[in-house]
Amino acid sequence: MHQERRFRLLMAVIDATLPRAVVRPRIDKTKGVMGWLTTVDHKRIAIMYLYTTVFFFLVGGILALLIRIQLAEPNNSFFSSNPVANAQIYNQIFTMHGTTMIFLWIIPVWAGFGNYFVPLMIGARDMAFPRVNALSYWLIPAGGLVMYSGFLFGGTGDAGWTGYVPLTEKLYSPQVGQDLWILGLHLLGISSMLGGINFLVTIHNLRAPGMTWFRLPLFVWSMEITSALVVLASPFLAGALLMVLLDRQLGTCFFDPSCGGNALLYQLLFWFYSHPAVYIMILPSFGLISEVIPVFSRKPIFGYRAMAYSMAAIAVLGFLVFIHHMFMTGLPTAVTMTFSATSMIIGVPTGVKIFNWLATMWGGSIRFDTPMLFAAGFLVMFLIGGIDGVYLGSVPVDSILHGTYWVVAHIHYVLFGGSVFGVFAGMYYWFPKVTGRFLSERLGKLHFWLMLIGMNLAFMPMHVLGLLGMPRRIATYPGGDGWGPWNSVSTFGAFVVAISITVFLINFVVSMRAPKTAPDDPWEGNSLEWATTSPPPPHNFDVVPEVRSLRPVRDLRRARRAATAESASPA
Amino acid sequence: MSPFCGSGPVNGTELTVYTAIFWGSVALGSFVAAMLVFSFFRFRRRSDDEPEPVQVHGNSRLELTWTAVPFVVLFGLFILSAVSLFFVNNVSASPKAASQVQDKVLGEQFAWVVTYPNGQQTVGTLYLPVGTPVNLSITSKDVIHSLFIPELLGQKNAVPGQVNTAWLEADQPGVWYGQCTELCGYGHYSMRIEVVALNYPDYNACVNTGKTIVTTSASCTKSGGSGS
Repeated sequence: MHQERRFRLLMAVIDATLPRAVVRPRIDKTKGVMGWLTTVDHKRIAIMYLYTTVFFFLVGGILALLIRIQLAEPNNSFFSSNPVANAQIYNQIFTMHGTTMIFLWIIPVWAGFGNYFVPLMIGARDMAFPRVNALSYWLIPAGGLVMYSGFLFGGTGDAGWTGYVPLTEKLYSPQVGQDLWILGLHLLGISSMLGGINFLVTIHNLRAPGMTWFRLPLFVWSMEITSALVVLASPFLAGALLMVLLDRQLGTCFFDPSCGGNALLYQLLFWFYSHPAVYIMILPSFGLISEVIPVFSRKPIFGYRAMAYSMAAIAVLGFLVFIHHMFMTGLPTAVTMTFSATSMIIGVPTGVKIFNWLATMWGGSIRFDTPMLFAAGFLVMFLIGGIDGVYLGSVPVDSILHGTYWVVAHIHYVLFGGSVFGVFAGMYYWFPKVTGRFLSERLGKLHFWLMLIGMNLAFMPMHVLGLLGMPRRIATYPGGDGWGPWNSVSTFGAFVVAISITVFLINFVVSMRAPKTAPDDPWEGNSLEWATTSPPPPHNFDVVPEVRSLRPVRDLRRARRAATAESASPA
Repeated sequence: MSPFCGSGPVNGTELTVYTAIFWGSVALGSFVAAMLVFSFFRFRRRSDDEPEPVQVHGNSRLELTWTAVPFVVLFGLFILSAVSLFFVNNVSASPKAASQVQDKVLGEQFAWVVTYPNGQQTVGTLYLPVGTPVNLSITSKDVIHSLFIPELLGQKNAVPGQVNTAWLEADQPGVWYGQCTELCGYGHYSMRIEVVALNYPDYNACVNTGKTIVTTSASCTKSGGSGS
């Protein structure tokens, strides 16, 4: 006791007498454009990620509207009166729509959220490799520019986001835009691999004291598993694309059967990446929803470990189902059957998640602020998308649905109803933390309802179109098949979605002009990001709170309330 | 072009599996959706709510239940799919396999070329004898296509350098349509095929003499005429 007092006294003397060292950088890197260009702060990088990806979301959305205008009625020629040119432009537009939404929006937007919140949620000061982090970000606009520059050189890639060979071989797609599409994807692939390694190292090494694996917020779990998928799977895409590039530019013969190549080899490599990539797009959404639902229901997540294990199971099984994209390629029956079995089984851990979310809300006290509305929308829309997938997992049924609008409906229920609803839940949930301001609840609710109605109008008719035999990726169609009216409804729905996104943008602009009224912990959150100020200081935490349970901020809140109650009623 | 307006054993098998999945998914899906929507309303925050409801962290028995039940349902659907797959994939599974006709189908940008056993070719039309299984050897001249005839066949890819087989059989005379379902270039949207099922005398006349038979549309009452 005595010793401790002497030590404190000594420290006080030292503090008072020694001058503090102050580092003065030559350029002030915290302000202005230079500040943003040179920043290695994970929060500023994350904000740049979010602005960039939302920008590409808007671009991809405009492309979607162009697609929907062209398909609104039979025999339409919206892009050109010349049917060949019309179809060529159409093919470029839907190729860029798919590529943009997947590689420039959903995958990097989660890297953006992860960048901001993984370090905060684990109580770290920054990502493990801040400069690598900046590089990961800057590769995104670079990749986007390279890919889109095809429009300046006679057309972009036009073989769909899957870019199947031999269609992407030079003979069939001679335009330089196809090479630029490959190079752009390469840059984006490097970006996500660097990001994935960074997240893994960060989560493994920079957790605050007491933050054990089974106290990690589920969003961090989801980023951990997603990053593992990225690091393991992306090299396969990079390899496949490189082989296409070599075939195109150096005359190698990986994929052309006329000189001994194999056309299906590309699909094997591509889907070995791209099926796990589906989970790269949806797992962070699962993680985020697993944060939002407990907070707004005021209950702990139901079956925390099952939630973490089921994500891991989905990731492992995600590598074992990719052949279901190739059921119709003539692979032996035994092979397609095996992958049909794994594809059905992957529904089980997904089902566990939905039931556990349901059980989390059960008996809770649910507050329907906008983040929770989007989470609720996610649950129902993702449920529909997941069930659509079961049909495609059965080979005989896939035979009548493969390559039709059923598949388009399925991916949009999963990726729009699932991932994008998750992204917007995250936007509304974390906006107060990032900006210190609230997004307007009134506009938020309008945004939600318009988006929910719009997406169902846009994508529900696609189930019918699939069952009416309408193939995907066709530039136009004759009037006799009964496809016209359903397409018109779908186009109308797409515009309702566009209006909802406009409402979101207005909400953003209006809210950014409002004063900073958000407290540190506006939703009564559980995880560490709510323990710091809104927005957090550059070093994130003055003092990292001690982590003693899955819900450290709830512990703090309860301790504080207990202390106030004690002091208010003197015994 | 709806599989529900189809004909023949392959289409019938595919629809059986579809119907099983449909009712399975409607039952399970609407149960879960109903529970979700119910909980949205039932557990809304009320003014007289306690600050925190009872904190339930999990229940192993419940979680095992909702792991096991979907597993059993999905596994059942898988078994049904697997059994049907042998029939759909293999013409020798047909009781009439002995009388099968062997045709070749070549996909090219942007047309389907059919070669009959006697060497006769048709472009954009596939003639079938009614009531006889027709085994197709499908390949491609250039890029990957997919021969999609929802009402009779389902589909199979036409892959260059590889011959895939698929079979179909029409139960009654009629005309159906098929289309390419694998993006194959700017003409992808126009790559259609007409499938004409004829009684044997007409079929023979057609395939052996090249004579064109005027056929009437297949009767399909479910959605206003087969795929015209």
